[in-house]
Amino acid sequence: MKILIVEDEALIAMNIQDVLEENGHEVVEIADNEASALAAAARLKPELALVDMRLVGGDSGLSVAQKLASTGISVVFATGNCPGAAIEGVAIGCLHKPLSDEQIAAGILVADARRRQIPNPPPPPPGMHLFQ
Amino acid sequence: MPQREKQPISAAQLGLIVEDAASEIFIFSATDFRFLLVNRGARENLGYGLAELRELSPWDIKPELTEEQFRRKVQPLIESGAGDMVFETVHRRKNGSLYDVSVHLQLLRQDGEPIFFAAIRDVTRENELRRELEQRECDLEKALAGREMLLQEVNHRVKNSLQVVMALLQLHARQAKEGSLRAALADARNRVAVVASIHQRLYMGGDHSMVDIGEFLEDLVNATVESLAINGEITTELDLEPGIALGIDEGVPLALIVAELLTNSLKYAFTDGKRGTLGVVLGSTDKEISVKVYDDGKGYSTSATGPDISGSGLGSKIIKALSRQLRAKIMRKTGPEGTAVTIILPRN
Repeated sequence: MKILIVEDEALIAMNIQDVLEENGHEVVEIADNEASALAAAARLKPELALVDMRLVGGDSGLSVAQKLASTGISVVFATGNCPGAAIEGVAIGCLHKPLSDEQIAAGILVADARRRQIPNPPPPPPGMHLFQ
Repeated sequence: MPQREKQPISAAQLGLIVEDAASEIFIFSATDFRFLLVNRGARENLGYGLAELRELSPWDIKPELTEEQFRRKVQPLIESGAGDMVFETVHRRKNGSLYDVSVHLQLLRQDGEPIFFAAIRDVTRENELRRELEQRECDLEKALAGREMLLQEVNHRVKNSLQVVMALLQLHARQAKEGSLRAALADARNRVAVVASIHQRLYMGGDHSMVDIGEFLEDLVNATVESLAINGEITTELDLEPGIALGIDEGVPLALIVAELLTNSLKYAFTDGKRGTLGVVLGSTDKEISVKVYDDGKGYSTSATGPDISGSGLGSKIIKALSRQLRAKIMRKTGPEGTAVTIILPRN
């Protein structure tokens, strides 16, 4: 799956990228603010974006997620503060940081199954909340 | 000693007393509202002479009240024919300056004629002090809110930095060729995760310098069981006294000790996919806080590679060093029915 990482901590992003690539995904770009995330999404057409809530320069991950979702890209939040209420139509779910390698891998599997509406998707790993 | 009979005060003496009184005293007609008597205190503060004041009515020196408003205000007294009332307003001096006053107004009768007796207290200074106090309280609240914001921000940043450290350890672990090195890096990452989660609790809670230990332990037990109970089913039992709060100095070491104990139980007591129970009891007295971690798995005290707290493994060393730092006592019972470790932490 083609995945965009929207994360302002380079090493956290790098770790997520390693895990995703080890699990056979393609990380199309790592973006750390809203403008670069939206530009990368338009250019590289990821199928899914993993989005942190707090981004560089005070940019909001929620705003990024809303804009990505409106262009048909599936979103999963990866943050220390998962939004409490379900955000209708914005994100599949939220992975609660800190994340182990296993949580990242399993969370993306769940998101992919939900995105493609596969019957009987796998259950979410510990620390993952689903919004849909 | 012969008793001297007290003479009643004469009307003239009473007039002098009123004239010299510290309060500003006004007497005015309840029919045409002209001033009949204004004592020296009032004349001096207002800057008017008696002759000038005789031409004035209360509303002439009360800029906040029109004639109509003043008449309406005192109407209830006139209707009932007696009684008194207290209200606050402002007086204007002859020179135009203003001062805050508290008015105690009473309706009296003199020779059948209704008159008003007003004792006025200048409350400018009182009001200034009250406003100063209110301002100071407001400033203090702002400063406190600022401090809370700052603490919240600091805790968030600490947690963030610890997550970066965790990511670094994960990156290292992935590079490590040797299994035992990988495992050691994963352990280090998990220990940093415990410290990070204490900071998470600090910035999420209402008081950003204290952690509710019961709430934290519940999170810790769930997270540890979720991440380690891969084989077999573990039931958790939690009996956590609410409202026990610790600062970061004690919270972090206690969290690390409990995390080690939980990890030991999950790793060593429940091998071979055995089902079992893992429990934590948190309680307190005036003098101490106690945390008991227990399981009903097989005891694990003597193995050379095991985590025995009297052993030489890193986990044991961490538990020993941190309990010394906390001035805590550790008691341990283990056997075929399970293991229970109790930490007794003195309360400061």
